[in-house]
Amino acid sequence: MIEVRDLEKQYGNVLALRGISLEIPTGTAALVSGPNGAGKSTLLRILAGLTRPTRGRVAIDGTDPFGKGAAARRGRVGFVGQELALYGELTVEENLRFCAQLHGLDAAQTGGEFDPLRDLDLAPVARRRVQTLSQGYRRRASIARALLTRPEVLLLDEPWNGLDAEATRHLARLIAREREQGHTVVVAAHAVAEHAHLFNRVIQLEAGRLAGDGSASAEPE
Amino acid sequence: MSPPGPRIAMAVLGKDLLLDLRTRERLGHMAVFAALVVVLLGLTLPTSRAARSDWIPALLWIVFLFTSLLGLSRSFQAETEEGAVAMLIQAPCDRGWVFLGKAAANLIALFGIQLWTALLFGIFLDVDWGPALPAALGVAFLGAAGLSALGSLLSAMSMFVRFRDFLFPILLFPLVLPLLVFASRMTATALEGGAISGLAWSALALYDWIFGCIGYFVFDYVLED
Amino acid sequence: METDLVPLLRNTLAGIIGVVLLAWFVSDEDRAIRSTRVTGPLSLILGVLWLGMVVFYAPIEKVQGIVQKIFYVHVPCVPAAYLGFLFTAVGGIGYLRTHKLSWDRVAQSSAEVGVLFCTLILLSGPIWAKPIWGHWWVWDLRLTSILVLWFIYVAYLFLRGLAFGSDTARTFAAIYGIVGTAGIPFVYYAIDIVQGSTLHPENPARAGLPPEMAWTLIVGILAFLVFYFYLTAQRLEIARVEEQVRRTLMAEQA
Repeated sequence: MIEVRDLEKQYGNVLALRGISLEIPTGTAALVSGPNGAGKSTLLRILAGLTRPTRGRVAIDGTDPFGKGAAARRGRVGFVGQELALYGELTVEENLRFCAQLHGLDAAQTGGEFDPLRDLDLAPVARRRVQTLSQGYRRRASIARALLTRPEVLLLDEPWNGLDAEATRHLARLIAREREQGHTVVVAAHAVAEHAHLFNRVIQLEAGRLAGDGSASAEPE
Repeated sequence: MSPPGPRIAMAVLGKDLLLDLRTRERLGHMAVFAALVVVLLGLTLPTSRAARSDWIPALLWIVFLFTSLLGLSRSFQAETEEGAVAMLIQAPCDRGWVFLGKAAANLIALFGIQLWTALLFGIFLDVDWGPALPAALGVAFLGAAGLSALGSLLSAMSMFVRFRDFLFPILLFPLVLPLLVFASRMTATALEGGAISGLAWSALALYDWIFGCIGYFVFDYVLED
Repeated sequence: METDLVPLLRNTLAGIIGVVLLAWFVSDEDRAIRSTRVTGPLSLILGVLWLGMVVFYAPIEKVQGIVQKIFYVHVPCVPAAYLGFLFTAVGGIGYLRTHKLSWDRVAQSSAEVGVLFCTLILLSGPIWAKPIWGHWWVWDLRLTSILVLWFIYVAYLFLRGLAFGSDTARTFAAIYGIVGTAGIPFVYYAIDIVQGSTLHPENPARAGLPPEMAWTLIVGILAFLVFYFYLTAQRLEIARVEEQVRRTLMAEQA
């Protein structure tokens, strides 16, 4: 369960979020939509614990990502932002290994029933530097990095940017699978219509405020 | 099961060393810069060895400070380029350990550069390290440690700020002044063949310790934006 | 040694109690701002008294002549400057712990006022030093440490200016305020090593300053300290109004 109360974030003279309160129950696939500058990215970054809110509070399964005891639970939230959060000079494999080391996972654990390289078709480029990869592979590598810790909450910011048709189908399967496993998925995107069927809730932001909140028009079959 | 902090620090250290070896830009840049400055000094200083010798310890540390500045300001560039710092922020531990990992990686790089600078001084400026070597190495190590502790913290801070190349030295220099004074005096004593007092060693070690601790405790706040 | 230890401990304890009391005082912004009603008139009275004493009461020093009177400006600035930097760190720690904007304003106001007093020290020092010591600048322990302090806090204000208004800016400023204050003892010790001894006259209390001079100095120190609090509280109020204006403007953007 994600709880957000009176969330505000100020950047210099701009208020990116102007008091947002919402609750996202566990197992929800929520789409956060809205025009550019609505505060979607900021909201996701705060949920991921990357950006500290100016006011208000956040709790993910009862834990404040900026409070005591947050450190041990950081692996439960996976975040894919607009930046890759990968080292361009390192190979895909090295990046994933580093991330695994940070979270105390062995190579054996990550290679078992869940293999990010296989699941995201990254095997052919595993030994190439991230810098040299195409846009689509980069995004996939970034998603693999976020899934490495088997997060219960997955946050994706504009994940469709730079993905080809094949990768888009992949992403759809991935979101569906996360839902089946009872995980929470929150996706921020400005293009809603074509992907709406993946979600059971649509949250609309406008100028840092909640502009709409409801179940998606088209429920998955 | 999250791993204990020390293992995370080691992972960060290993990753930074790998990056340094992979790109070689940072180390190469520092090495060439130090060599250039030493050559400039060789041509501009008075030619008699006696007239030079008084200046050597101070120049050694000034050259080292400026060379380190180049390396330290690069230290967080790889983290910001593709937002890789997010991985560090989400590390499941007190982020002080991330700081220690970064500082250790910087320490290794800076100590290496320090040795290189000392070698250049030996070759081009006729500095006879001989008997002074053990003490001078100790001073070099402690000096590099203090510089990497403070430098890692301040370069992490300046990476989120506009005009970071301009701001970083302004933040760093007034605070490393004591380190430079301690270290250059101690190096001078070592070169003259004197014994460095216990007080001087402990002042330098205390400096490293205090700024290491501050870095460890405040790094949690530095990484959030 | 033992005889030195007791006053040292006593002074340290008094200092800690003082800082805690003052930290409590500024922890409520309204209280700090209201205090200008007292500190404003008080600093005016003390200031006039101090100026009168400098001109009419304190005798002209036999050796140094009239120039020595700069002493009554130079010395009282020192406690005010140090207090300013101390509160930059106190405000910084307060902000990191609570993330309350009022602590950040304390740090900011204090740093600005501290830099002001620091600048006064650096200007009045050389004016005195030239006729007395024969040089504009002497690498004296106290003067040089004030110069380094000035650099540290100018860097602090640069940092604030470049990362204006965001949470990141406040956090970084708080950290640099803490780091800077931690660096002060090292700066002091390092310059001590270089200089070997200070050229400064001994502590007036011990050096047997004539009572007229000592009283003028004490009134001066009091006046400047009260003035420090007045200026800081005024700056605090301005910072709060600025924040309110910024919030109003941001709310209207919607």
